[in-house]
Amino acid sequence: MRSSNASEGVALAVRELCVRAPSGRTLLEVGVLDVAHGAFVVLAGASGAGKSTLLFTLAGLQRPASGSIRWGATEIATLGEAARARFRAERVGLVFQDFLLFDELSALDNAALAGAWSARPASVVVRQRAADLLAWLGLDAQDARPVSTLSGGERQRVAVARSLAADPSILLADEPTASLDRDAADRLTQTLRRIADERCRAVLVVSHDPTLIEAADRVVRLVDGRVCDVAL
Amino acid sequence: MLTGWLIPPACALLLGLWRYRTGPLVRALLRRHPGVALVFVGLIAVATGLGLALGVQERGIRAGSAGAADRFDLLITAPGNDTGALLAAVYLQGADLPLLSGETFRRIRNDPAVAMAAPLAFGDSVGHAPMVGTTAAFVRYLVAGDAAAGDAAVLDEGRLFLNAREAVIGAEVTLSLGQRVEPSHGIGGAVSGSHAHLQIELTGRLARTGTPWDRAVIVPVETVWLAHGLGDGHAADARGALGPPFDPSRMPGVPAVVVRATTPGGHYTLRERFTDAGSMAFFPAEVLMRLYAVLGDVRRLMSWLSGLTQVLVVIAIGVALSILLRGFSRRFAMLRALGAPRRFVFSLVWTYAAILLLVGALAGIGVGVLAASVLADRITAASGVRMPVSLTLSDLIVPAMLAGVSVLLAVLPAGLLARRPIVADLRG
Repeated sequence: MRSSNASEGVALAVRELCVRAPSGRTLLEVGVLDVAHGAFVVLAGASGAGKSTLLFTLAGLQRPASGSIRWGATEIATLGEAARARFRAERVGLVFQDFLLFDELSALDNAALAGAWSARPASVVVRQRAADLLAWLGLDAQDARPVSTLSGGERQRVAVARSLAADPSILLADEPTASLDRDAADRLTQTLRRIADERCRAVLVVSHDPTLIEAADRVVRLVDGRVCDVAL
Repeated sequence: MLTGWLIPPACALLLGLWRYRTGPLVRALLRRHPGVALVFVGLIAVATGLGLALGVQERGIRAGSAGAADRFDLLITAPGNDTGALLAAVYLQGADLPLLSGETFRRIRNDPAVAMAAPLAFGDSVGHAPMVGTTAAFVRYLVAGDAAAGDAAVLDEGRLFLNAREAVIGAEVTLSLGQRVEPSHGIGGAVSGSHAHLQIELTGRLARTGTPWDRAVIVPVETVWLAHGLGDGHAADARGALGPPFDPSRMPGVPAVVVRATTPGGHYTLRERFTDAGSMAFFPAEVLMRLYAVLGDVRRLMSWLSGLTQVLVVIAIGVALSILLRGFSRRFAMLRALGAPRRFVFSLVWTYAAILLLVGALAGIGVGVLAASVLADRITAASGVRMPVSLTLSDLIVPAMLAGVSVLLAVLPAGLLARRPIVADLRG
């Protein structure tokens, strides 16, 4: 595991977080979890341990039953649906295991997706930033082919570009290397590391991938919905 | 009204393509299942087209049938069924009509209000073509609108008949000029024998009229009488003459006389004068109006049925659209996870649905015109009456209504999809 050289300051502060299923069953309990700006954190644990639930809750996709989730100065646990959507649009980048791209669109159209619901001037900025990110990730922004023609690794990099195009301060990834071969997974790991280091983003990744875990600043292990081990 | 129905699709497109830039995403959704999208569009096009074709066709039937009767200002027949007489005289449908006597014809012809009185004798045929006996003056009036029109205005080729053993043919008759033909008694399936003693030479082909007469063999009325062995209707010293005057005592009688008055008002005088115990005068237009009323009733019934079908199609489309859109729910969840507001997803779905429905409705206009044209061709082929197929602004109300209602209904699946739980859909 890589030693931490994260930037100063807390990007995420979780306190006494409790997430319940609609049936009332407790899915997740987290007492304290802090993540610094520029930190690369892996959420690990067995299937059903609550990793994705934690990730989705931190992204504001799921409302906790109680507790506090503070991203910088923003407490998202108490925000309404529309405010959480705005928060995600402005502050959170999300990467999914199976990319969830629009296969019929080009890499740039996918990466600039956030521009579709942004105000017009912002959408131009998003598109330009998406093009720059694609280039930064080694992809051709001018390539008009649909992303269905790209390799798995390339598609996941398009998804990463999409997650960063709105210039979020947080990047959350759910099993981003699970659908990739080893080479592509290693390359993505380096990319995520660079995002934390060079762009000073807090990067939280749900993963079992040893390479990713090795590259992380911290590993948060979950067992049965509880944080049981934070490895530095 | 038309614009009113177009408001919902316009709102959907404005919201989707202008307020939000959903264009590329809508294209992606359309490309995702192109076959399903095509089936949708096809269903909507057929539903729209059927309703539209009904209106266009009904108007075509009215215009075509009225056009065919244009030159038949006033018909005088023996008392009986005016509809049957109209169908026989104007549309050349076989009918067994009682005859007007020679004396009645003389009275009609000599009436000071009559400009032209032409006997019509039918009931025979040449091959598949009905044979009609009349006068050269009526043939000229029928084709050119002028009883004294020159041959150039009346004929495409050849000349008019000059004696009782000559005939002219309508523009669509497949016989050749110079050919000698034998008339048969009866028309179509009702042929009951040949007038083998009479050979008729075809001397001219009439210009097209767009009426059933284009398919007829037209002979001097004397030919019909001669074919039946009834003499030629003329006095002994006028043997071989064609057309009026006839000798009332020798004239075998005719089933109908078409009359043109000297003045438009004269037709009403003549109708009154010749509606008595011995004859019946009527305006073809009046009979047609009665038929149109029946046609209108049928049309109303068919419109209801078509409307009901369209409602069912709209419901089916709504259900199918909901099922299709459920297939996209993970992508919509992803959009919302990335921060897209609910109204963006709503707008995306609504625009997608509106585009499918609008394209379907537009294609329906084409389908409707095509269906109406095919139907018109069939009816023309069966009756010889040319059916004009034309689209008016009011015809567009049906597709606009279908598109408007469907797009309004599409608000439902769009709203439901925009409110689905993100995490559950992301997990698939």
